[in-house]
Formats: sequence, C-alpha cells, structure tokens
Amino acid sequence: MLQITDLSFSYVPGQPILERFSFSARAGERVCIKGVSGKGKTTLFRLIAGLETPAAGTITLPPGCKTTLVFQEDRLLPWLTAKGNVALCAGEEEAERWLSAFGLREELDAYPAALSGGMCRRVALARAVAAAPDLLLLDEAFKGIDPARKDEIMTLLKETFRDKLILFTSHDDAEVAAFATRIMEL
Amino acid sequence: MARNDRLKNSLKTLAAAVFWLLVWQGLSLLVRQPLLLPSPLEAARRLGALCVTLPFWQSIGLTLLRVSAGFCCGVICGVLLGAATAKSKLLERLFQPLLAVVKATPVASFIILALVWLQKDLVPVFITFLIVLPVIWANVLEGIRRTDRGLLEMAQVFRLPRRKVLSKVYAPSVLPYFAAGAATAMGLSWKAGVAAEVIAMSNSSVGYHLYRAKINLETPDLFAWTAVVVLLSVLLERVLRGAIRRMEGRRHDAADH
Repeated sequence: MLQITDLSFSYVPGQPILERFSFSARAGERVCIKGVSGKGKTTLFRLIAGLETPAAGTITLPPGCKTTLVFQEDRLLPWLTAKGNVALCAGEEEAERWLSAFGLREELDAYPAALSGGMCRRVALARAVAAAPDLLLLDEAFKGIDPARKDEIMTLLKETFRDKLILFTSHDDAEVAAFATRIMEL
Repeated sequence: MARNDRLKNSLKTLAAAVFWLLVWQGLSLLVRQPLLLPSPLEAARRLGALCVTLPFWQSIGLTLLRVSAGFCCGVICGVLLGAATAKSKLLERLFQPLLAVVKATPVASFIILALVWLQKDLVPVFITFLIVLPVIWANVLEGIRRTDRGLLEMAQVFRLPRRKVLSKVYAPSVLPYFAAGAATAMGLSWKAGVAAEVIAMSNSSVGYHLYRAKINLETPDLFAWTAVVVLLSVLLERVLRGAIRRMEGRRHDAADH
C-alpha cells in the first residue's frame, strides 16, 4: 500500500535528515517507526502527508488514498468546540459518533481551552479517525492519555483500521508492544 | 456583579466628563470673552437651538453618509488588498511604496488634489477612503501573517476546502487585528472626512457649518458643531465595536471557559 524508495530530505543543505530511505507497508499493518530524537520520524510523516517535498526519491500510495496525520501538538481550532473541530473534517453526526467513541460524549460543546491535555489529544484523534483515512499517521498521538483510556483507544483503532494502514511513533515501549504489528528502526 | 462593575465604570467616566466640563466652565469664566472661549452652557444652548432646524439634521445625515461611504470603501479595499498582498510578495512590493506615500502625505495635500480631480461633495468620501485603506490593509496583512501555521498545516492535511479554511481558520485569526484597525480607522475617518468638508466646503455638511462658524466668528457654533462630530464619532465607534464583539462572541466564550 505504501512504498517509499530512496527518500532523501534535508531542511538545511548538507545536513540530510533522511538519506536514501526505503520502506514499504501493507494495509492491515500497524508499523511503529522507531528512532532517537532528530532521526527524522516527524519529517518522514510530514513527507508522507504531503507537507514537505522530498529532495530525492518517491513516496507511492494507491490512487485516491486518503492520508491523515495526528500531529505531536493537538492543532485544534481554539474558537471551535470539540464537536466543531471534528465536524470540520467529517460532519456533525460523525463528529458526535466519534467523540462519543473516544469517551468525550459530555465534552461535545466544550472548547479546547476547557479540556485537559489528554482530552485534547482524544479530540485530535477523533478528528483524524472521523476523516476516514486509508493511511493514518500518529506522531506521539497517545502522549498524555491516561493508561486505561489508552488501551480503549488502541482497541478502537485496531478494529476501525483492521484493513487499513497505521504508522505511528512512540517512545513508550509498552505502548509499542501493545499496538504495533511491526517495528521499523529509522 | 458584572452589572455593578459596569455601573461603577459608567459613573467614573461620567465623573471625569463632569470634571472637564467644570474646567471648561472655569476657563471661560476666567477668559470672559465668548468669542475666544464660550462656556459649555452657551455651546449647549447653541446646540439645542441648532437641533430643531432641518439643515442641522440634513448636514449630519450627509456627513454621516460621506464618512460612512469612504469608511466602507476603505475597509473593503483594505481587506482585499491585505489578502492579495499576503498571498503575493510581488503585489506587496508593488503596493508597499504607494501605501507608504499615502500614509506619509499630509491630508491637506490630498484634499487640495482631490478638489482638482473630483466634485466637492465626493472629496470627503475619497479622503476618508484614503485614510482608512492603509490602516485596514496593514492590520489585515499582519493578521494573515500571524495566522497559526500549525492550523494551516492541519487544514492542508485534512484537505479542508478553501471556503472552510477562509471562514474557520483565517477569519477568526484575522478578526482581532481587523477590529483594532477598524476602531482606529473609524476615529481617523471622522477627523479626515470633516477636515475635507471644511476645505472643500461640501454642500450641506458639518464641515461647511464649521467653516461658516469660523468665517463669521460664531465660536459657540464652532463648539456646538465640534461636539456633534465628537458625539457621532464616539457613537459610530461604539456601534462598530459592538458589531465586532458579536462577531468575536464565540471566541470570547472559548476564552471564558
């Protein structure tokens, strides 16, 4: 489903973040991209999401493949409610459905400023899932969510994305062990 | 509690106004020459007399129309120019010197030039437009530039349609900058618009009456008409701020939570 061939990228000339990186993944996989800070995990996700242009190499996805990225930061619109933020990408009904699924039924009309960090993460996750992507990129997406809730969310994602592809980053080994079907060292 | 605070604030503002009216009254008693400085009572009496005449309301209506027309044109063009120059560096380079010249040129020079180019009734509209345009343009441009890049990337990743990006990301981000610019421009537009009316002697206008008062040395009239301009300016600024506050309502709600 995802084929990356000889991908190179640098923000500063002469200091490559990624150099001739190749990787492939099939639908149904949940691949953890591992590597120490600065190795280019976030950059790789930005390249796949189309936010950066590769200096060399190719990223191939099936035609019409919808990709969504959950950033390290929540990136919620502060002037919209939780429902408004999710509805922006999916419509009102879907927004309510997914926010409820992520345990935020009581917070539909709450603004991000009134939510805890973990709740904002869940809104950001709900927004990404509600957009119904074929490829979901999760950049430290579970950070700040309490362990019990995290397990529920992982189960939900496993079911929802059974036939789709998830790439994720995490520094939590237990999280990786519970969620990944494969680990890719960068 | 909030109502009590509002009442307290209103009383404090009223007390400050009364203080300055007393200072004015004291000075006029000291000078003892109504030609140089009429008392507030004389100015109010003159204003009362003017209020019951038809030309008074006609002049206010036409001045209001001219200033509002110039203000609205300036706001529309300022927003469009701000959006266009934020999008294109080339356009920004092209318009930057022009707007710098407009900002630096004395209003009087423009008024005299406009008198050559336009009918005298259109001069205040044009001058108000010229004063409002750079203020709105600069603020809208700044607002667009300061829009959170992270939110724009989010919109790109989620492939939000352009319409949604404009209404849900850009508009709320630019609104505080626009509001500040519009409030400043509103105050300036009255000063410039009425100054243009004075020099152009526009028909049935507050500026024309100010000019007549100066020519005929009718100082109480001068004060009465000036009070009208100040009242109209304050009133319209309040209306504008109210409208913007309503637009910002959701944002305020968000901050309150």
